[in-house]
Amino acid sequence: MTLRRRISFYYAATLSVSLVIVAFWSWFEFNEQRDAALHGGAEAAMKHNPLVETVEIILLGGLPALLLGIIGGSLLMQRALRPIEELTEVLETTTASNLAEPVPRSGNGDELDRMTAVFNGMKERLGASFTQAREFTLHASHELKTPLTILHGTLEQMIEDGATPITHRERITSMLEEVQRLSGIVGQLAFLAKADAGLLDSSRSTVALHELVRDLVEDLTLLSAAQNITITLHDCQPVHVTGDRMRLRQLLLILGDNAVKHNHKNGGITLALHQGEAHATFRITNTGPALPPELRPRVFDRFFRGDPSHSSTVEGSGLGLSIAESIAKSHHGSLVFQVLEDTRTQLTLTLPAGQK
Amino acid sequence: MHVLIVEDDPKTAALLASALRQEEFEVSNVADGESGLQLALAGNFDVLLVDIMLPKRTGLSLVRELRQQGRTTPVIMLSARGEVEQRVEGLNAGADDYLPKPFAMSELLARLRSLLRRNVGHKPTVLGLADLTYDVGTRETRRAGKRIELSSRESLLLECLFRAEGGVVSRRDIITSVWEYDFDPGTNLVDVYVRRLREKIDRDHSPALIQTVRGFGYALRLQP
Repeated sequence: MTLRRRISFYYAATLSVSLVIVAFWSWFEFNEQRDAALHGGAEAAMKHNPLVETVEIILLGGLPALLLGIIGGSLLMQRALRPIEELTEVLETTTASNLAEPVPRSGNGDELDRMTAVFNGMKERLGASFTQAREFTLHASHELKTPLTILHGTLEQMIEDGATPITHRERITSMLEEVQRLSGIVGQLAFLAKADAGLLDSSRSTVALHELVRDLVEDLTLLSAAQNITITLHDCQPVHVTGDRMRLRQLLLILGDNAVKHNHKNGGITLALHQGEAHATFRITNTGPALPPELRPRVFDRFFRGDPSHSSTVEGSGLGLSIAESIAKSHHGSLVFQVLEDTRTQLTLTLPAGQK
Repeated sequence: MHVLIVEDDPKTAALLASALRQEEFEVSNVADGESGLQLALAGNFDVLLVDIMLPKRTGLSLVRELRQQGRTTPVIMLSARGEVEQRVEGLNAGADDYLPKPFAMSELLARLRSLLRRNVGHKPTVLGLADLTYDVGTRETRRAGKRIELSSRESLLLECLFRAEGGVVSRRDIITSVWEYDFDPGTNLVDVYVRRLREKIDRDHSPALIQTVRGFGYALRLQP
């Protein structure tokens, strides 16, 4: 049955029941009047004031009919509209990760069933284009690796070749460095494509996050020495999480490196690791130029490199934070970017706490 | 030294062959897995370079079969898929080393040399160059008889440079052996550590032993 027919049917049913109630009271009143006329004559019949009779009909027949209409109507409408609610609930759970699963159809051929079919078709096409984009990146990065190897090897041979003039050697070396940079970007893209496809959760074990944070502090102390940045480890409680040790080290190093690169001379970096009830929280805060508010929502975007006027001085591909975020997500955690009131930049990593 | 290259991409194969010939290796070349296996079983090669994606028989299956036949010829796998699982799969199949593409020829040569050395099975416990000595067991480092304090990462870095015996060590190899990272950290971590190591080892002494080879990496050797 189509939705329109069902609603019309419910509407007609409510109306009919109300009509029956009103009709019953009218019949009762008329009967009473007739009996009064038959037994008491016209005088008795005249006692019945038509106005009072009408009010009586309205009060005793109309009001219950109205109440029935309101209560019954709303119940029936609720029933008629329930499929819409059910469908909405299912649609609300649609995310990029479950595009392959179609919304279940009622199969009764009504408007909602048709809409579900249309939505499923749309979902399928959207899923296909997502997959296509992912596979494209994955294939492109794989296909680029062989030519890059050849390019690298050929340039290496040219440098080592005694016949290459010294003046050319300098230029070839700088080409070689660019090839290496390109190889790095290709590797990062392959990593992100893999993360998008949900293929990151390779190994899971209990990781002592506090040890990784201490290692990070050691590396950061050296990395930031040239800029004379002060590294402060505020708190480093023993925290254990379940995850991939290598990926978590990568994540921490990206955050640390980010805090050094976007800092200024004589600046500071503070780190803190806390174990909460259900979550482990790692915070890294750095001084340095704060990102303008309009650019903040884009920090995790791929190839985003902050203020274009600064980007020339800051090395990097602009993929670091996207990689960090995808590692956090693959560990069922989150990464949040904030600019604090004192203009310091803070990144907060939250991971589900593991067993101690 | 005779190397068998099993690689289906003709350009990569030609490049590998020419780089190895330059280093005075004898080189043979095949383009598919099946003939690679036959040749490896029939011939007497010192080392095999095997691509993973090959026609007729994959590189993994080649190595597995070779090992089942009882051959212990060292094998380096080459693959465009540099992921950890692939690496583990390759090593599980019986390969001795795994080099993800894109790689540098200098990197391949360094791995080849270390593999051949490992095969000889002789490892000195105290490494030395000029008046610098490094004890692998105790990590004690001395220059001109004077003891130098190194952090654990600095010692690993020095050991890694020593092991290359004067060859160039790429940043990627340093990252792998000192930090055990399987990813490109995208930082100048290696350069910073090398600078620090250089300060401790070379600053008050001559000749300078740690050389920067631009575009390649670092080497521990006397200035040529």
